[in-house]
Amino acid sequence: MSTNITDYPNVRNRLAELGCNDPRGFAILPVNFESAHSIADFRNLSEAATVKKLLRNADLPHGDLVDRESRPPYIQNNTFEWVAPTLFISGSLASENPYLVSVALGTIANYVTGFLNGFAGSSNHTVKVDIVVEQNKTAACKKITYEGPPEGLKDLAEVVRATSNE
Amino acid sequence: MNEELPAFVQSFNTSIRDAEVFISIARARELQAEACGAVESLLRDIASEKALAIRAANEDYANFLLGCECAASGVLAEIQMWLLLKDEKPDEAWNRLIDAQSSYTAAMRAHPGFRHLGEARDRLQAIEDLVFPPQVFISSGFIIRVQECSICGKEYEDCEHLVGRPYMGRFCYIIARNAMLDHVSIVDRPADKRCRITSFGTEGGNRNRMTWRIEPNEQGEVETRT
Repeated sequence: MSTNITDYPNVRNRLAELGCNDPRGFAILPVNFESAHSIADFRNLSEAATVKKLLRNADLPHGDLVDRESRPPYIQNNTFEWVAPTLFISGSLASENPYLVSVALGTIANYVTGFLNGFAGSSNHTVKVDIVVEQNKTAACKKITYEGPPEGLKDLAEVVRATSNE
Repeated sequence: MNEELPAFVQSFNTSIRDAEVFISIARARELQAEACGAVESLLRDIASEKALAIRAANEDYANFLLGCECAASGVLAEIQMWLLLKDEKPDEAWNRLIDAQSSYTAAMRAHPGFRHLGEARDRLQAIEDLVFPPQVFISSGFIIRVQECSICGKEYEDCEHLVGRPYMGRFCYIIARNAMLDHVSIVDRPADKRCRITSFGTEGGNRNRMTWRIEPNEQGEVETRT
C-alpha cells in the first residue's frame, strides 16, 4: 500500500481558463484535465459515470465540470482492473466536512470491493486512485495517489483533511 | 432467503451435486455428455422459475436464481472443457474454461448465497495455470459517445443502476453506443481472457499457440520463411 502527495495545477484557474462550471464539493476530473485545450477535448473514464452516481446515490455534494449536453466521451479500457477516475475535493468540503469525505471514500471502497468480488485473486487485488485536494487557504492543489487494497481508501479521509489544511 | 429452502432450490442443489461428479477428466465421455444434457435442462427450469420470481417482484429470489443460472452455466462449461480437451480441441476448451470462470464470478456477485464458489474459481485458476500453456492476451480500448444502462435503457450516468450489480435477476452492464476503437494492446490481465493471440506466423504456416502444431494460414497456403 502506498500514498504519495504531489503538486497539481490550480483547478479553479484551469476551470476558469476552459470555461467550465465551478463545482462545489466533489467532482470528477477528466483524464486529460491538465492538457485539454478546450472542453471539447475532455475524455472521461467509463468508471467516472459510476463514481458520479455513487456520490449522487449517497446524497453527497457534487458537481459537473460541464453541462449535460457537453458531456465528454468515455474511454472504456477492457482490462481486468477497475480504473478509478480522478476525484476532486474542494477545499471547503475537505476542511469543513471531513465526515463527508470519509463517507464518499467508504462508498467508493465498498462498491469496488463488491465489483472485484469473485475474481480470482480478488482478496489481494489493488486499486489506484488519484484524489486532487484543494487547499482551503490558498486554493493551491495537491494530488494524493493511493495504491493498495480498496478497503484502504476509507483511511484516506484523514490524509485529505490534513492536505487541505496545509 | 428463508431458512427453509424452497423446493426448487433443494432440487437445484441435488441436480448440481449430481452434475459436479463429472467435473473430472477421468469420467467417462458418454456420462459427461449426459450430465451436460441434464444441466442444460436444469438451466431451462431455472429460467422458468426466475420468470415467476420476476413476475412476483421477488428481487432477492430472482437474484438468487440468477446466481443459480450462473453456477449451473459454470458447471456445464467446466464439464464441456474436459470433453473438448479429450477431443483434442484445446482452443475451444480454453473458451469453456474462461466461460466457467466468468460464470462462477458472476454467481458470486449475483447473490451472497454463492460466496462459497470462491473454491471453484480457485480450482479453475489452478487448471488455467497447470493444464493450459501460457497465453498472450489482448485488450482493446474504445472511445464511447453514449453509455446506455442495460437495465433501464437510460443514459448510464443518469440512472441509479450500478455496473456489475444484480437487479431483479439481471446484471447491470453498459451498452456502448457510438463506439470507436481507440487502441489494442497486449496486457497481462485482460477483461476477457478469450481475447488472446491464437497463432503466429512461422516457417511452414501458422503455429497454434495451444497445440504447437503448424497449420496452413488463412488462405490455405503453407508459408515458407527463409
